[in-house]
Amino acid sequence: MTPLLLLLALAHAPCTPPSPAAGVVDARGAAAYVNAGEMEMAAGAVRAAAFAYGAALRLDASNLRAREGLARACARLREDDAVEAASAHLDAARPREALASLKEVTEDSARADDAALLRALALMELGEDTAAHTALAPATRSPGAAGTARLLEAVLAFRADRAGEAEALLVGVREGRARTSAEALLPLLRRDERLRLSAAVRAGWDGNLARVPEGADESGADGATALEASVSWTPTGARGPLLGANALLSRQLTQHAFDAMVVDAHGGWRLGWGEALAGASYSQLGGSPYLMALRLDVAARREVGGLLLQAEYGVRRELFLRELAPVLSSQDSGFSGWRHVGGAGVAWWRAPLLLRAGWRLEADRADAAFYSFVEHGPEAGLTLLTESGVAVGLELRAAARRFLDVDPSFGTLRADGVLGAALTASLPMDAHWSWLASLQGTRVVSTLPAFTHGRVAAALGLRYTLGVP
Amino acid sequence: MSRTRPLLLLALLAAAPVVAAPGSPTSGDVEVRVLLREALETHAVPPAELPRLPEAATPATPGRPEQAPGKGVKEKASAHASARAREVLEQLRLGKSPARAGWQGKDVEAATAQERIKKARRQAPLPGAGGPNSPGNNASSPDKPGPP
Amino acid sequence: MALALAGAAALAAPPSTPHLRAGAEHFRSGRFEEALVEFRVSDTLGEATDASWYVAATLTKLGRAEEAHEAFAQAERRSPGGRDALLDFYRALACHQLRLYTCADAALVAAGTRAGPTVAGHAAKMRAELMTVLRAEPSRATVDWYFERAREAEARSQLALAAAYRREAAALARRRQDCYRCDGTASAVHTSQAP
Repeated sequence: MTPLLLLLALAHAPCTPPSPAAGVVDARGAAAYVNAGEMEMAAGAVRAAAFAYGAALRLDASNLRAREGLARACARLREDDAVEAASAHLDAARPREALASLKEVTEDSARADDAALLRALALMELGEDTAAHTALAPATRSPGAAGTARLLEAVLAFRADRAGEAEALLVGVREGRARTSAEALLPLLRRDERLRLSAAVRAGWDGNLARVPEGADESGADGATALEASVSWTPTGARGPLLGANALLSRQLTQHAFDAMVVDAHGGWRLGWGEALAGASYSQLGGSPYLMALRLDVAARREVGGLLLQAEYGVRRELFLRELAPVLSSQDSGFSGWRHVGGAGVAWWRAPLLLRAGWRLEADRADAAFYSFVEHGPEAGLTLLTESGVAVGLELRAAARRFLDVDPSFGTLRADGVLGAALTASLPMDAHWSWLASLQGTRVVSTLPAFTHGRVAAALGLRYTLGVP
Repeated sequence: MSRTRPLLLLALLAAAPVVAAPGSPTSGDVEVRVLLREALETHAVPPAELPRLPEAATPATPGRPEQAPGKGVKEKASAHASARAREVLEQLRLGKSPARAGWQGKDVEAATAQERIKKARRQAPLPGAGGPNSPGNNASSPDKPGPP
Repeated sequence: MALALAGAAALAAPPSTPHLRAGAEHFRSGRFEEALVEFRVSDTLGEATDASWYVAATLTKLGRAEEAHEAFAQAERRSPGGRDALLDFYRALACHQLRLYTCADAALVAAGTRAGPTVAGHAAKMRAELMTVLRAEPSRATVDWYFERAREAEARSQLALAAAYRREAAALARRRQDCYRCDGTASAVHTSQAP
C-alpha cells in the first residue's frame, strides 16, 4: 500500500466523522452501503457495519439511516473496546482499571452481560464480594451468561463459607465452558464437606529406608505397603470447631522393625485467619509401643495484594516409650523431649499454578543434648492444578541441621546439610477415587560420615474420599 | 504486487482489442479480474485444523468470533471464576496446617533416624568417650578431642 | 479508502467495477471486512454479476462459514458463469469449516489443478487429509450430528446449509455397514444410546 493510501485508510477509520467528497452526492451508492451495513450489523460484524455506514455518509451526508447506523455501530464498537480493555486489565491484575473501562458499557447495551461478568470478577479481585454479587445481577438474567454468572456466584458463596449453597449453584451450571469448570470444581469442593472420610492404600519402594551411609556395604532398601484412613468433622463449615482422627498402618517387605502403626486424634478451632488445634498420638514400631505425643499447632494466614502470607507453629511433647522399658541401653534413652516446628511463607496462585516459598525452622530439644538439634532452611513448591482436577506438585527444600552438643560416641559435633525434592501427583478418576503417585529424593551430607547418605523413594496409591454435607 | 501480475496483465492487455467493442471486457475490467485473482490466490491457504468427524459433544459450528461477540469474555470469566474457586479451595487446603499434617510422617522418619544413630554409636564408639553401655551419658564436653 | 480506490479506478479505467476493484484491493491487503462491504455494494449495484462469489469467498476468510455456504449457493444460482477454480477452493474451505467433508472434497475435485500450482498443492494436501477421515466408518453419533445440524439450519431458514448437512449425513450413512439412517428419516431418539 502506498503512503497516500495508508493515510487515507487511517483517516477513514470506522468511527472517524466522515468528510463528504466535495460537491459529489451519490444517493444510490450510499443506499447500497447502508444496505451492506445493515446486513453486517445483523450478522454481528459491527466493525464492517461501521465501515459501510461511514462510506455511505461520505457519498451522501444527508443519509439519515447511515448516520443512525454509524452512531449505533460506533457505540457498540466503543463498548466492545471497553470490554476488551477491561478483560486485558483483568489479565494484567489491574481490577481498578478494569472497573474504570467498564463504565463505558451501559446496562441496556448488547455487551451488558459481559460487562457484568467482568465487573463482578474485578470486584472479587478487590475482595468486594458484596458489590460483586450485586454486579452479577444482569448476567444472571441473560441466557448467554447465566451459567458463568452462577459459577461466579458459587465462588462468592464459597468464599463466604456457604459451601452447601456453592455446591447447589455448581450443580446447576449447565452451559458450555462454565459447566466444564463447575464439574471440575465439584470434587474439590466435596473434599471440604463437613464430614470428610478418606482412605488410601499405598505401595512403595524406599531405596534407603535404613539411611545406610554412602560407601557402606549393606543395603537399606525395602518395599512397603501402607493403609491410611482419616476422618475430619467441621460441624459449622469452614469456620468453627474441628475434630479429626488419622490412622496409619504400614508393613515393610523385609525390615519389619519399621512396621508402623500410628493413631492420632485432634481437635481445635478454625477461624477466618487461621486455626488452633491440639492433638494426641500413639504409635507402635515393629509391633511394640514406640511413641506417645501431645501437641499444639497454630496457623495463621492473610491475603495481601493477591499473595497469601502464612505462618505456622507447632510444638509436640514426645515420649519415646522404649525409654520407659525396665531394661534399656543408652541408645534407647535421651530421645524424648520437646519438638518445635515453625515456618513462614508466601503463596501465589494464578490458575493453574500455585507457587509457594518459605522458610522452615525445626528444633528438637531432646532430653540428651547431643540428640537435640536445630534445623532451618528454605523450601519452595509449585503445584499445577488442571481443570480436570489433576494435581502435580514439586517441592524443594534445603536445610542446615546443627546438633546442640557433641555426642560422646563420636567426639565431634554433628552438623548436617539436607537437600530434598519431591514430585507428587494426584489423578482423580471420579468424584471419589483418585490415583496417587510420589517420587522423592533426599541427600544428607554430615560432618559425621556415618550420617551422609542419599535416598530415593517412590510410591503409588489409590485414595477414596467421601464428603458428607 | 506479485512479480507475475505485470506480466499477466501485459499478456491480457496485449490479447485485448485496441478499441473495446460495446459489451466486451474493457482493460479496466481485465485489470480488476487480475487483481481479484491475485487477491484470492494470496489468501488461499489450507485450514490449520485437521479434519475430524464430529461426535455427539462436538460444538455445532467451529469458532466464529465475529459472530459471537462476548464468547471470549464468557470463557475468560468462566476460567477466572474457576481459578478463583480453586484459589479459595487451595487456600483452605493450605490452611490445613502443614505442620500438623507432617507430624504423622515424622514418627517413622524419627524412628529411622534414631535407629541409624544407635547403630552408628554402636559401630563407632570413641575410647574413653562414653561407650554404648554408659547409660544416659550426656555429659559431653566441647573440649573433648575429636575422632582420629 | 473505497472512494479513493474507486476514484483512482475511475481515472485509470471505465467506472464499470469500482467497488469490485476496491474490494479486491482490500482483500489483497487482508482487510476482509472492508472487502466484504465493497463486494456487497458491487453486488447490490449490479456492477458485476459475479460479485456474489466474492462475497462468499470473503465470508469464508472471515470464518463466517455458514453465511459463506449460503452465499456460495446463492452465487451459483445467480451467476453460474462466475464460478472458477479458485472460488471452488474457497468453497471447499467453507465446507471444511462446517465439517462438511464430502462437500469440501467435491469442491476440491471441481477446483482441480486449474487454480494454479500453489493452490493445487494445497488442494491435494487437503484431499489427502480428507480421505484419511472419510475412509473410516463413521459412528452413529456422527451421522446423528449432521442430521441435527440440518434440523437447526432449517429452523434458521438456512435452506442450502440444511440441504448440505443432510447430503453429508446421507453420504456418511451410506459408508456404514448397517446403512444407519440411510433413508434420512429415522429418528435419532432411539439411537442416542447407540455406540
